[in-house]
Amino acid sequence: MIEKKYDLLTKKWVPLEREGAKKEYVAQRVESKEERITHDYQILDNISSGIIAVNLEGKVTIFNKRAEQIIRAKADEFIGKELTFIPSALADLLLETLKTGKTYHREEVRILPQNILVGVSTSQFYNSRSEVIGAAMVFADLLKIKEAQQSIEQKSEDEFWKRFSHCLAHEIKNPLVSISTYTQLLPGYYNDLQFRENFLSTVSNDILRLNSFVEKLITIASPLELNLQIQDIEKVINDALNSLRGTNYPQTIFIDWQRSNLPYINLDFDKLKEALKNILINAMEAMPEGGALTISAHSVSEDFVELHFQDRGEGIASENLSQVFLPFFTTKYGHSGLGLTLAKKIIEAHRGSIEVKSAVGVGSTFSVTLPINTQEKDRETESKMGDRFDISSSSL
Amino acid sequence: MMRRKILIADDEVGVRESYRMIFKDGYEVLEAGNGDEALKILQNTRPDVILLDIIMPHMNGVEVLKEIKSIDKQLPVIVITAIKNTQMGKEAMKLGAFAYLTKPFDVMELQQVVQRALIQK
Repeated sequence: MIEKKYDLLTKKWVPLEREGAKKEYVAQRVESKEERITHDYQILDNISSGIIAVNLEGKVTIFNKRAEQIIRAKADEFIGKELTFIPSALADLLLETLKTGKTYHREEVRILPQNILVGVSTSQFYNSRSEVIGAAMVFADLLKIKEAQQSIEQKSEDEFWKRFSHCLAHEIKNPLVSISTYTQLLPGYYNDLQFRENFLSTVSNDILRLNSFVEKLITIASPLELNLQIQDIEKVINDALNSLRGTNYPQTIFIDWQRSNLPYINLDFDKLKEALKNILINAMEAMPEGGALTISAHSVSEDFVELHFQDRGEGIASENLSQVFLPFFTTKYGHSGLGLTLAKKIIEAHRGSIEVKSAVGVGSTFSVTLPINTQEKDRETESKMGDRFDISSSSL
Repeated sequence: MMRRKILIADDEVGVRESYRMIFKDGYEVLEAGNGDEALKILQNTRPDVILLDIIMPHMNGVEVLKEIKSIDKQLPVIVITAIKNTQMGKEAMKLGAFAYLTKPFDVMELQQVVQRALIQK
């Protein structure tokens, strides 16, 4: 197939045999100016982005095949003509670049009237003496990219609502069953003392449970207000551990507490304690038969402390790893899937970060980084606690 | 006359307690916290009716329903669930569930459905 290209520099038609040309120019050194230009045009026509270039006079010099496809017009209509013939969404950007040197990078514009969404980048180009000799624009059809993005977002959103509805169903409907049943049975059992006692305790508990869940939801959905004060992070961890003593967690959880030189840091005591408590609960639940929970805490620079919570539980499957902090994500029934979400929210509100590493069958390690944020106060050596986990009696 | 046996399968203690209160006078109440436990009980005793929560840990409630039906096709299973998901409801009915109720349920309605299930047996 013979194709013709209008060669602007030499102003004559250059016959081009596509297949043959390809072979020649790939295999040999490009010799003549004509051959060189044809070769360059071939590259332009095989690029997947649209390319439009103008010279100093604002006349179109390049309009590649992809540009033809995106704009749905032929190059012949534009080559040699002024920019104004090109759809204005594009022309305006290119003209501005040509005149002022302003570059655009992945600017999203719509080509009207067909409403085609494209991402556009522009720049000037220069000769060997660094003089501006024109401007060029590269643009891509964003429709497919946007569709893919939207599809991912929609899937994420659908998954969120599914998790959310499952959680609500469990955390709200189940307590309602008790309250509803007791209430419906009350007329028949009014004179039964045992019934009345059961009613009171069960219904009260379920109301507390409902309320606590709703509060958790509200906390997660609302902006956090931190009450920051310079405090002992060690005390936060100890208090969090203490609050879990005497709960359902197996007595065979052995806490291995390793820390060194922890500075005082700027933190909201109650909120951070809640966050660390959730991380600890998660670790303990990973070891229903008991096991070792290692907590290590140390400063890593003048600016940060790191806390690590390592369990030897079942570990987290790799496909779940990226989801553990997502709201309502849980692999355990009867859990709201909000504990780690809340922990992350609180830690990030402190301008810290949290991440998890895990291996199935080995265990997981949650690592929390917190900025120190203020003048350090060195720990007093005599108040250092032993390696055993003790109930802290120091007041702060 | 021997008391009818009702097997309750739900992962929530509070919910099982509710069922127990409703049926303790008049029925022998058996409890299971998940599908596996329910099937285990089924191997030792034959209840007259089963109340099954479709969404439970370990074993998918629909799978449990299938299993129960394969063990005893005539055993009426009343499916109860928190989610008013009509697709799940349709699937349960297609698999032979006797009825489908959502939580929180009306006590009288539940009692009536159980009675109907026992009569038709």
